[in-house]
Amino acid sequence: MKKMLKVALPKGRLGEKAYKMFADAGYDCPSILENNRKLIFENEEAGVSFFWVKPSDVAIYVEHGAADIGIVGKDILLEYEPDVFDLCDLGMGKCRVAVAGKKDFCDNPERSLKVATKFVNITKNYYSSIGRNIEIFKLNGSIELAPILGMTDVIVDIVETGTTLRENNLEVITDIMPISAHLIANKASYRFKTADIDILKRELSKKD
Amino acid sequence: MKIFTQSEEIIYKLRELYEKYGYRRFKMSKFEEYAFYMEYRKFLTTQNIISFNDLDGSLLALKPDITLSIAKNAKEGENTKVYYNENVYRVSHNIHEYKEIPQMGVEYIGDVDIYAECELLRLAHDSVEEIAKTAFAKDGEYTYSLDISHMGFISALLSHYGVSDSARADVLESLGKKDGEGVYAACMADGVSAEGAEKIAALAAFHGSYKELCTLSVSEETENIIKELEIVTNMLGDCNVKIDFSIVNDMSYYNGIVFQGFVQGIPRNVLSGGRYGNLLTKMGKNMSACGFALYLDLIDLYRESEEHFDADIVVLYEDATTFEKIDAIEKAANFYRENGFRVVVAKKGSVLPKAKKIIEFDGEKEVLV
Repeated sequence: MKKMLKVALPKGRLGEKAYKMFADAGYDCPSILENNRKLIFENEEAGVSFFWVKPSDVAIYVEHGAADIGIVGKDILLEYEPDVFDLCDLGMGKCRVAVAGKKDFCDNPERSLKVATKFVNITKNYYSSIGRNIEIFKLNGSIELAPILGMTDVIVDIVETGTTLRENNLEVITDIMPISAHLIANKASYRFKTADIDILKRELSKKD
Repeated sequence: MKIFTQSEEIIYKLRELYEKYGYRRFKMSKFEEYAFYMEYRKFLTTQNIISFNDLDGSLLALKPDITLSIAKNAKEGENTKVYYNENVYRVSHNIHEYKEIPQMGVEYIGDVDIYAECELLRLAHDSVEEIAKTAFAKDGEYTYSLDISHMGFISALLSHYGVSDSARADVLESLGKKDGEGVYAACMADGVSAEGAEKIAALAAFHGSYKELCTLSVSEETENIIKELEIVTNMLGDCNVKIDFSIVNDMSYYNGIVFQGFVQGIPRNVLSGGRYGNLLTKMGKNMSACGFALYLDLIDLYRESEEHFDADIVVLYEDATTFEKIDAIEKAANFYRENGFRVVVAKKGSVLPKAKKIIEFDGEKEVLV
């Protein structure tokens, strides 16, 4: 019997795009497109099962072996540093992590910089690399509100097109790093399903 | 009656295995001087250590690692062949809290030649197979793997292409994640030629036999290492043994083969080991060393749980007011105990333990409930 490859996909546009890459590579699972409340979708013939999870949880499912492989943004890998193989950059879901603030913002180096973010680790590493003293305000959503309400000086967040920033009179101050979707694998699963995972990696990295 | 849990059963089987190869059990105290760990901090997989003051004010630590203590006590001119089964105290990766973690391991310190290296790999291989067979077999079938890497091979390749000391940490980090693109980028940023960066990046994707390694060989040194890998893999003679350079340990302590063991059913490596001669050199001892550790907590954490029962049989009684009645109940229970069952005697109407079978005893005959 063929070993099933368990794939964790991030809910949302990125996951849908990633599923299409899997389907094009011969790992399709038509039931995933049906509108229902099922959580796991299986195609025994193709030897693959998919499940949708919160984007920030993909790496957790893979690290603990509930999924053999997963698609995850580089931001999540840098933020949570999961113990997984980072097999390749899929070159999709491209965006960047950036520092943004009000249009008239001017940094005063005499005091700590107040930063709102959900990426505590990335923020800490970035500011420590430039030797800037900061206070981090950990938020879980609507990060842009923090500087608008005067709670923080700047934010560190994902910027895709910059529309949300512009609409709220904010702008990018510095780019920290580019971000894209990566194919990750559980370190033990890789050993037991090497051939399947390597073929898939080859197929997926062919795409633009 | 089954008394031992699967991990206890594995411990006894492994102890027997290690004793058969002439390794002696090493027992030690739970404490070590805190300063000792500070000196060799990078050798440890954890940077968090539980420390406390002794009565004389000196700072002690609960052991986060056993190998360091064994290496410290090893005497030059002697071959130390020991195994241990101890608890270590580390921060758990999952809950970010200190945990007491049961660990078993084998160490060979002294004149570790290729024969000794093969013997240790044999023990590592058989240990992983034992765990797979005893705790993770399904319908008698089990899968495991022992992957071998070589810090000398990686180091030779990095030196050959002129990777600077400062860039090595980034290269090794990406190598550990099988992130070939990251390895390539780190090499290019360090001014390595595109050809060199490509060759070093190819290490990340490598997972196979020593026979395929010749395309990555760059010098007499790497040729000799391939010969060493040929000997150890041939000696193990098992298709579950693969060469994989994503296993990387700190180069300032590890200088030769390094290896990890995996069992299907456990999402992380259950065994980790290698040659750590550089540690002994740092300790001022002219000796070589090789060993491995098994993370026994993973066995109970990931094996499929069976249905749990507090007892096999509960014998229920209604009336235990006279000697004759008590004697009759005890005799009825002892009948099952003598036949190897775990028996709990309980009064009818009381809270009962979870049991496979409940028997009502009216003083003369038994009725299955």
